[in-house]
Amino acid sequence: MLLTCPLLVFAQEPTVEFDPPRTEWGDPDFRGHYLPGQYQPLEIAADENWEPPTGGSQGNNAAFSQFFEPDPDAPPRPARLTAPMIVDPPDGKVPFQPWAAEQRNDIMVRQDELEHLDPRVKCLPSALPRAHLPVGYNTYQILQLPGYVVMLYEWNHLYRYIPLDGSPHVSPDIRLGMGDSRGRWEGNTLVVDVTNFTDNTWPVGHGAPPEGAPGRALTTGHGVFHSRDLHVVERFTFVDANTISYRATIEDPNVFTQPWTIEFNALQRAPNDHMLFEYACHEGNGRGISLMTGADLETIRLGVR
Amino acid sequence: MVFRLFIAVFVGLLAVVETTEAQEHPGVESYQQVCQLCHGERGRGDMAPALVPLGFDVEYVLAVVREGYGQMPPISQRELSDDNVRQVVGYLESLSSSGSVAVQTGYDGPRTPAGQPDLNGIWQVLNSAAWDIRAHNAQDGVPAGLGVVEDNIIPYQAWASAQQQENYANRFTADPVRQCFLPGVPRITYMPFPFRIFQTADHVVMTYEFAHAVRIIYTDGSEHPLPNDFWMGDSRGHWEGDTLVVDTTHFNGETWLDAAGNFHSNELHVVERYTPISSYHVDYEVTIEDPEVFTRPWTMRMPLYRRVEEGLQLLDYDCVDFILESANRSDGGAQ
Repeated sequence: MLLTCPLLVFAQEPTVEFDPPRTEWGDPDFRGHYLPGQYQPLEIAADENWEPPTGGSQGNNAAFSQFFEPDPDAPPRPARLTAPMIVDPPDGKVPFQPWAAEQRNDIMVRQDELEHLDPRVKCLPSALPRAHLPVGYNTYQILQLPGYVVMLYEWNHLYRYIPLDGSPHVSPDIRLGMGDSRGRWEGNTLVVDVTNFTDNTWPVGHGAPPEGAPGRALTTGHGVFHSRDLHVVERFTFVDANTISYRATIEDPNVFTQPWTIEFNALQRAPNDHMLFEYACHEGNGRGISLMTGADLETIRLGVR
Repeated sequence: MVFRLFIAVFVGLLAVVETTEAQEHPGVESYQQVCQLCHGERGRGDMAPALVPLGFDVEYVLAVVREGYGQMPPISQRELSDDNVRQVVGYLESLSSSGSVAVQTGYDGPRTPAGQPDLNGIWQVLNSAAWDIRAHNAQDGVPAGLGVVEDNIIPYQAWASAQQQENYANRFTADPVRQCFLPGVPRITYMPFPFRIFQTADHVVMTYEFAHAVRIIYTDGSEHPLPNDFWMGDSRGHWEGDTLVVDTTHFNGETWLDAAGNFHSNELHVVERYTPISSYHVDYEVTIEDPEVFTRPWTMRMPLYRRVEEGLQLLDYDCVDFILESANRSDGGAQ
């Protein structure tokens, strides 16, 4: 199997580690603006033989192309990488417990129900590692001070404070959409331990799944869910002056049979004039949610002050 | 970008105020004849923002005077020569350094390596401005308050005053924040939730617990981008002494100023002045300018308090989740 998929070697660990510049106080300097990495499938489909029904839609991308003609003057986009991000287990598949694999199928066939709809579409926080997967609507800014790394995400104006002071995670009674991050330096690598997630987000999912594809046929990570026991350990490492590799181990004993690991180049340094724009997600979303699920969010009013 | 210099062309309408300064500084006469009607006596601000302390250099002032900015018209060489502008800048600089600044800080708290007051930390207001920025009595769930608006007067145009009253009558359904929309600026500051300032050499990032709102305030001298409309506007900052001055424009006009229906248009221009007066207090002054809605600029002021609890961190108030929960409960949405 591996011999027929030579591109799998792409995902191996960098053999020569780049030595990044240092901040004034001596930490590896990750500061700057970044763009997402190149598209790459997340996983090997559990059912690799699934074919979309003949005569039907070719999926969401095909539907979009009916509205947007390709720009003939646009520079050619880089070829998509074909190896999966999942490097462990080595078969590239999400190690679901059997019931959870069924649950994923169920989630994907019920995308027209508000409760099961992709949390990205509902404008919930991205959670992790989803915030670092390559998507066209996200860019990043990293700031540092002694004792802190802060990551700002254009997607849904999300942010993370990563304290480096060895402090423990917040109380397990507290739940956070982006989780609770605690970081440390291992050489030039920023290692972040993240817990205290909610249970209404997806840890992965990017690109567009073929319309009507069951969970078992997906390579995009959609429908992968987690419990409150999700535990993510991330490793950010420069592979050259402009590229940061990202390795995340995802652990949730309620859903998966073992921890699993994805690795890919997630952050590419952006041009000098880059800035994060406001991504007001929920503010314009009511009509879309209504069309997709029939749920009328626009008439709901909260008691917030 | 920074303050709009706001210079009147109605030279003939001016009543020149003679003071001993006229003899003391060569810039006084030009200032009083051309600038004072809008920018107030001794640069203290009136219809247009204060120019003391002066946060720009001569070249910048010359460019703004000649090209105009926002509501300020271009001023010709005939009305105000380059030398006159230089004299006016010198006059304003002398006022800036002579202790005539409105807020005398005497700040002796921590500073960054660049020498600026270190605002890093978690802050929060302690007032009821989120419910009503003007003086108001208590209602069910709403604490009373003396208000944060200078003289308690919001100078609405007549139509806008009527609109505000309609907003107030419909506030439980019409307030955008009740739909979990981003609150805009300055309302996000006085929402009853903490916010965290992350201050580096060329950025001040303000992250808010409410709806994980973010303001990335560039303090690197960069200018507002090409016109786009944002819920939270586009913020550019600079330091004037110990005061962080944040100029925010490019609003979409969809936000309110409080839960009582006080509102603005997409012409809103907000200038915030964050002046630390101790390690634990910031004097927060906001000037609101919106020629579509108000008859003149007006000001709010309140203290910001540093939260000092050990181990404090921002948590989540993700109201999108509450909207979704409400929709799930009601099996399809409508309440």
